Amino acid sequence: MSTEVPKVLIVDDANHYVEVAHQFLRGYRYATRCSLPGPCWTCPKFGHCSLTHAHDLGEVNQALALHPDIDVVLLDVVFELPRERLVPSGEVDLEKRRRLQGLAILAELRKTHPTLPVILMTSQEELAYEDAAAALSVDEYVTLAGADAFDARSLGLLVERLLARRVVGPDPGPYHWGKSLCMARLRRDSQVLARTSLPILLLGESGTGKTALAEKVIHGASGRKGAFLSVDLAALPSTLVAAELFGTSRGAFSGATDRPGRFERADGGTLLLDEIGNLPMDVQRTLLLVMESGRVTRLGESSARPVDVRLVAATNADLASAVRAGTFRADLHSRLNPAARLLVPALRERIDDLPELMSALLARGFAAGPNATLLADYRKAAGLAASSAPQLSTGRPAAASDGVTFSVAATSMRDLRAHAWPGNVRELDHLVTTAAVFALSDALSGLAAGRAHPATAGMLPISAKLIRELVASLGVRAASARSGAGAMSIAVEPAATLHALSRHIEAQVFRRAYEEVGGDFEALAQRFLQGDPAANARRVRLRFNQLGLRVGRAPRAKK
Amino acid sequence: MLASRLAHDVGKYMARTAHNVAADKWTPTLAAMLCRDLFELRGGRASAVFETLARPIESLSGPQEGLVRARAHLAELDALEGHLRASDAGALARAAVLALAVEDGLRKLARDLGKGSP
Repeated sequence: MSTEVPKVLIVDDANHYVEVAHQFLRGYRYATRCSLPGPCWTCPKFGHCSLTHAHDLGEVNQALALHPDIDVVLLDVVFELPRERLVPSGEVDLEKRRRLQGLAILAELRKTHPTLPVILMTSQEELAYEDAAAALSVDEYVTLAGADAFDARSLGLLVERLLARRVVGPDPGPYHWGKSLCMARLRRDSQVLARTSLPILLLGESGTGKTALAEKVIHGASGRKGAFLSVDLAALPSTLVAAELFGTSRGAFSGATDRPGRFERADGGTLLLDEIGNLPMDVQRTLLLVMESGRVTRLGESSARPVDVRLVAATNADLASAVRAGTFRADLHSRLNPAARLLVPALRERIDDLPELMSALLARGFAAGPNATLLADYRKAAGLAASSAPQLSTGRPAAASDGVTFSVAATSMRDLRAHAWPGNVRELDHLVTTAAVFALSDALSGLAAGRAHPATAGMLPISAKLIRELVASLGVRAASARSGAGAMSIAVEPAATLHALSRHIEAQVFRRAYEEVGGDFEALAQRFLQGDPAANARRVRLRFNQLGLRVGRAPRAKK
Repeated sequence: MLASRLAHDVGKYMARTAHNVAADKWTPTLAAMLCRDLFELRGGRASAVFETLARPIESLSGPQEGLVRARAHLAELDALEGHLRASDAGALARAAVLALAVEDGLRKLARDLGKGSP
């Protein structure tokens, strides 16, 4: 972006927008196709010149070549141009091409200027009948002028908002946005809110990635130098919450030591209070005071310490209902800025992102730890040189490469799309990793037995049967959780990431069940998986090892 | 689709200048812009373009109150043309109100008739 007055390029087949801009938006510079110094309204030819803006794609390119420092493009949508001046297209309906020419120009513009902010001078209503609005909404650098297309003040605000967003710079962290409309909105809103000092309320089902959003995006984009800390309030005994958040001084209670709380430790950074709905009422009042004063008092102390903490609260509960029920303070709810809440969609609401998410989870799941070791073992056994992240191919056989590519059949993708995913991305993460581990294990067995053909090295199909079994087991687990059957008590401790937390929980489930069945993997398989226990025992054992558990540590249960 | 086009081709363009000028801030330049919005749209006068696009809607969807109101406003605007071209302050203020009313009404009509309607 240029550092001077923002420069605007207007693209319109007529003079409607340029006249408005030149009359009412004189605080900007304009990218003309003329070599004379501006502004246009001081030129003797003003009102009788066609070089003021671009009328078609050719002139857009001409203006872009003359002005590499363009900040914003104002783009009309309907272009009443002769056929030869329209962007080439396979569409035979000339009228339709004209009415959507702005979108065709936008598509061409994106090839050369993928992040250049564009304001489309139209509204959702005007585009709706062409079903083009959704396609536009995934482009976060495009905004619609809507009913205010000719309102110079509103247009000026839109320009400023786009420019402010551009100052944010590139995506601050590895967060998998996908291409769905709801995620495009979340991306746009979270990046804007991240740069404010307001508290942020994240709403979404469990497993949707609220913590990752808070850490990778909100904290990442905030520019704050301090640490990102997360506290799961559902995992803390209510009697310990205040001490954990605000700290303690020696003698505050029996055994208390001088210890900073999470607020102090997050000073200069971001603090995520996960499951804020679980905050005890007495602590809610203290939290409100901290938020209002910017000062925290350790338990047992009388003097407050200043803290500079960006607060993010997350919940999957209906806080408004909790306020009505009297279990959540209305003033704290208001202070959490519910009007600017961010809704993190459930996986089923962004199911089209499934392939992209699976690829990302696969790469992450095999980046380190036992999974990475297993992958390295396979690469070595298969004679593969490349050490790049494993790839995922969906719906068609994997193409040969010198890396590892897992392939999921089209029928499996249909099964996965049909699943409700109550555990959301976290549930998908487990499924993808487990399926890939089994596929790797099968491939290693094949290599060891000398049955693998060299031409198929690196191509690892994940069988449709396996996917069906895993999806079915997810359903069983959900039903089991609902009915309480097979319930066991799990110790939950805050972890660095949700992935680490879920792995910790899974390891406990395996360890407990392993102890209960006396180390019998067939019995364990019977408990965890549908189908033949003898066949499944190997898979369960593999996962057991992958979780870092060791055979023989558990005493055999009495028969 | 026709209703969306009517909102775009007539409503949007005829309200272009009216959106930006306060009642008592009209200059001859702005008055000329408003006249272009009302009487020199692509396809002719706003009232003529309106009739071209409104008739098929009425023949397919029957009489529409929004169209009746817009037609009345456009007729009043046509009657004001001489005063507008003479930069009469009262006429300019009234024309701006009418132009914005036509735009609002046509947008509402497009929303009401919705996708898939004529």
